[in-house]
Amino acid sequence: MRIVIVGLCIAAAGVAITGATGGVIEGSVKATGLPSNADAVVYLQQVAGQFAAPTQPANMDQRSMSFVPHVLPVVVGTTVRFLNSDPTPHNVFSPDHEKYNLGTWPQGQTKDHPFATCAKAPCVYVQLCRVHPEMEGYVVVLQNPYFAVTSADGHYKIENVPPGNYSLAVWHSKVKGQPKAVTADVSKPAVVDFVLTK
Amino acid sequence: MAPAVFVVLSARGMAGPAQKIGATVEVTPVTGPSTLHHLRRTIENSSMGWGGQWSPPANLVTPPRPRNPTRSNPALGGADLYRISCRACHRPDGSASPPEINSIIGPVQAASVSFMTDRMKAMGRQVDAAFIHGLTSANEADLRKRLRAGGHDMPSFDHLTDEEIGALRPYLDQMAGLPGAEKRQRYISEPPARVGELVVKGTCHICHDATGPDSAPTTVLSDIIPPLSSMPRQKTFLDFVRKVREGAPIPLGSAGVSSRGRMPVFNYLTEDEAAAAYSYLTLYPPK
Repeated sequence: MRIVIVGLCIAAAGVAITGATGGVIEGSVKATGLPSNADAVVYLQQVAGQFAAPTQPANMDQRSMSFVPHVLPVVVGTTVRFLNSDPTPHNVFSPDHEKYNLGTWPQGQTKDHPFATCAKAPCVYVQLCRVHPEMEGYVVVLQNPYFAVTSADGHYKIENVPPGNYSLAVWHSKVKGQPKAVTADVSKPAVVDFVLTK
Repeated sequence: MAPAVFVVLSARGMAGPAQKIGATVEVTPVTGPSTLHHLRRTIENSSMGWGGQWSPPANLVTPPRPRNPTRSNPALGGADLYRISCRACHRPDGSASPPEINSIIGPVQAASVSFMTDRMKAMGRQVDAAFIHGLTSANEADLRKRLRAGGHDMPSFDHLTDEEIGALRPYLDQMAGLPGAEKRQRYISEPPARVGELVVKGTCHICHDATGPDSAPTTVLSDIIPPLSSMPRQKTFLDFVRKVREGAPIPLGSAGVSSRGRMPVFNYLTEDEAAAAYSYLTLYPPK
């Protein structure tokens, strides 16, 4: 009887770790030769089904002459709201895919841009400001919502992944790595590490 | 309405012949509060107006000379227009003092087709000419709109004529290091009254209100910046020119006591330009 209770506790703990409806995929990304391991996007390349874009826009700020966050992964169909928090006018344009130029707007104002299509994920859009060439950010459009961005120490965690076998890929603006096979399981987290090189 | 004539005063204070102002240039008095006053800033907590230097040795002052100068109608290039209209805030190289004052370089480069094309190529992006043209023309429009209307903390420079902007604009390209800009430099002929107006509106008015009560000599020790309207009344022509270009100390009334005050030294203005500013303030009293 005592063994059964312990077993139930472990099972409960497992559910708490991985979430009630899906598995967890986590690990670390090493960006070789770079001062930080941040801003790598780890994502499932293809997941069966259609995924609705969020009803609320994702936000990318222009603050202290930088795009914040530097990298913003979104599921296809998401609208991104670009805010200017700086006292100087900013512009947003991208020379990638369908290309766009959203114009220039002052502090406190926003402009929305929908990322409605992506023929082959990831669709990477570099975000640039015409008047401040040092500014650079990225919107990474993906097929599904199972993605995460690494922190400075390289850690990432993708939660609520439907159980199954997938190809786990990683995108970084400066370094590259090969996709890896992964199995999502509600009973235990899958740990996948990447080493990216130029 | 100011008379459409201007008595040319040389650096020696001599009156020259009356001269008609060109039909396309309307000289108007400087009006209203200074830029600093408008922004509720003090000269100490702002970079505005600090294009001048603090107490350079007078014997090292070597001001630039306008190209082909004549006493009656100096020829000004874009470099001269930048010097008297922009440099006080944006520094000699356009780098300015971010974040309070933004650099000119980025916006100017972004209006260049060749620069933006090279920038995209360096990023590994293949973009068509139409996209680049759309970007650069929009940025050119933004640049000119900013010049005309100002924006955020920058005052309007709507007093600049199309001809003046036409001369200034290629110099901004040259300052931004854009290839071939040297060959596009232009020079225009400006009446001295206009030169004085540009100096006052583009440099002096950053810190000095147009009008206000005359100041006593001792106010140099206070936070009060004397108005432009007081200059012709309180300074001789030569004192004004020396103060602007060399930072001459001001006598405070008691024997042997004088002070430089807080005013930077604008040694990059020529003697003729400082003289033109004084004459302009005399003939077109600030309002």
